[in-house]
Amino acid sequence: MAYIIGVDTGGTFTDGFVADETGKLFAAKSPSTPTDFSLGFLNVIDELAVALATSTQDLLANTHYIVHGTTSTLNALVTGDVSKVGFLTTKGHADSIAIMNVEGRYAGLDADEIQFMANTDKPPLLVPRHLIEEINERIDYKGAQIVALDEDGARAASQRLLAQNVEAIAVSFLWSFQNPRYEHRVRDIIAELAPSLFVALSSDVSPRIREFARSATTIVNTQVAPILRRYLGPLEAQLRQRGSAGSLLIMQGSGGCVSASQAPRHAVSTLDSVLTGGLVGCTKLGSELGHKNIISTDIGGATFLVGLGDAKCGIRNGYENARHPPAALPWGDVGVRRDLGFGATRRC
Amino acid sequence: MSVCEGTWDLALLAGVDQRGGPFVTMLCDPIAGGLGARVDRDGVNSGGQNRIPMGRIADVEINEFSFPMLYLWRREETDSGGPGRYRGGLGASSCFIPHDSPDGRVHLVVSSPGKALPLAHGLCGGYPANNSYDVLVRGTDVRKQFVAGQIPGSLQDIAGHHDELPSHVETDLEPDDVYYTHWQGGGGFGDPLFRDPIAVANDVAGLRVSSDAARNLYGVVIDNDGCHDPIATDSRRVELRKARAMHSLSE
Repeated sequence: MAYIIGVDTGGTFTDGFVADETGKLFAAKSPSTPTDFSLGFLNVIDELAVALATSTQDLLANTHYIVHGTTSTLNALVTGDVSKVGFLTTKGHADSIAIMNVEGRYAGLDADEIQFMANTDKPPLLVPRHLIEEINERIDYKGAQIVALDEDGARAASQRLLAQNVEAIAVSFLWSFQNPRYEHRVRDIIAELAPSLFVALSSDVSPRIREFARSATTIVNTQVAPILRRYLGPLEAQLRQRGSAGSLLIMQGSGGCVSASQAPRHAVSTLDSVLTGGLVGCTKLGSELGHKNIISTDIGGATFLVGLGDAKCGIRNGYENARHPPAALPWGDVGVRRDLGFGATRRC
Repeated sequence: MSVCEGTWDLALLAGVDQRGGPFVTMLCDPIAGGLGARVDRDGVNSGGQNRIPMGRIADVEINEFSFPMLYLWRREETDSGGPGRYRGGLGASSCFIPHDSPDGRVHLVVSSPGKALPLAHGLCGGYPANNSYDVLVRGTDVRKQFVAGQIPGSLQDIAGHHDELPSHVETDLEPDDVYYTHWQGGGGFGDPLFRDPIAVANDVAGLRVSSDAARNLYGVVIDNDGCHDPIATDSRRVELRKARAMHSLSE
């Protein structure tokens, strides 16, 4: 018998779901284990094996793939429990994430709140000033190298960040999506200094024009990636040890998946993945029942999520959805209300 | 709310763009003006214009893609927010050089009041924000610095003939000329001598206020660790109050 498995790690519970090749379905539930999410994940796999009246070994050996959705990153972001990140950017442009193109003052607010202008404020800086370093290097709009990368300066700046015990470094240079050479070189320089440190490049995370959204997206990716890296690597090893032969796939906010080893690199895409997963599922269910327009909701322990699906699944660029942070990524059309759950940031 | 960015610091650019077509544009970066301080809070740094609730500015990359220009920097400027018990929001500046126009030069029109007198006033004892300050540096060494691997970080780093511009100028930016425009922040609210010294120390650490301004306008003395020195701050504030009293007596 061949199986596929879905596991959803929420703030409170981890849900498991298995389908066999005859179309039979089984579900299981186990408490989430926030200190190490892989424990709750493995518990729910055991529960599924019990539901199937088989062994974990047999279940995993015959599973083609496991799809995993996680709210660990979103919950870390809305509760502010993110990694300490250093930020390297082009000389003269450190304030891009402070200026926020002005729009950071009102993005995500309702019309009545925007009109009460004297009551609007920008959110706190994504990275405190002492963890931001400017580097001498410059690419122009064509991708031409105008100022060569100051490698010694980049090395010294990275060392200053490491001396302040950063857990990860985000790198976002102007026009890097046109020519990522200097970002690549800086990643190598940091790897020489701290081989195991997580480094995210804007040319990888969000390779598109508009430096503010690209930098903010890269920084948020860097803040939440270590959470994924901490448990996905050991989890995959544990699954292999228990006889798993299939792939471990991580749900993305776009509605697709990436392999577990690639997931930290695209960590920001997991932020809305659980809701998008539900939205994709609801749209599929709706289409089989003959409904074109779907509203899906997901009430979790930390957030209340609402999705809107039309005949085309309503997947659109989420940039304007974001109050904090703006994300230049394909996201489902989803909202997070800050007045429900504890302290969730509004993103409508 | 105190006055927000007291004037529009106009810069019009025109000429031949990098694709060989004609262009004319208004640099909209000064939309990122400082908002005035409020009765209970600081103003918003580079927060926008009070008359445009949803104003926004283009990313540097969008401006460089659209027009033949290359930015040396775009940043919030230290000390540009009006001092007060609550500080006005910081204004900001842009500095750029013509880049990749087949014509080499770019026509420039500058027009802004508020250069001789600050126009973003404070309220209830708060001080005004900065004046508009526009500088044209002729015949710079910036391209040589680029080749040497260096991006200038301030006007002092740029060699050439520095022209502080009057309220209205029409001219051409030649290929090696640099234009710097520093628009206004927002006015302060309340007497800066009543500002929480911890807030002043945070502003100094965040480059929003210089240690000179902390000492001379807020009466806050910052020690070598970046913290305020309570005893030195108290005596400095007494000294500034006495100086004010002497000033009123002498009048």
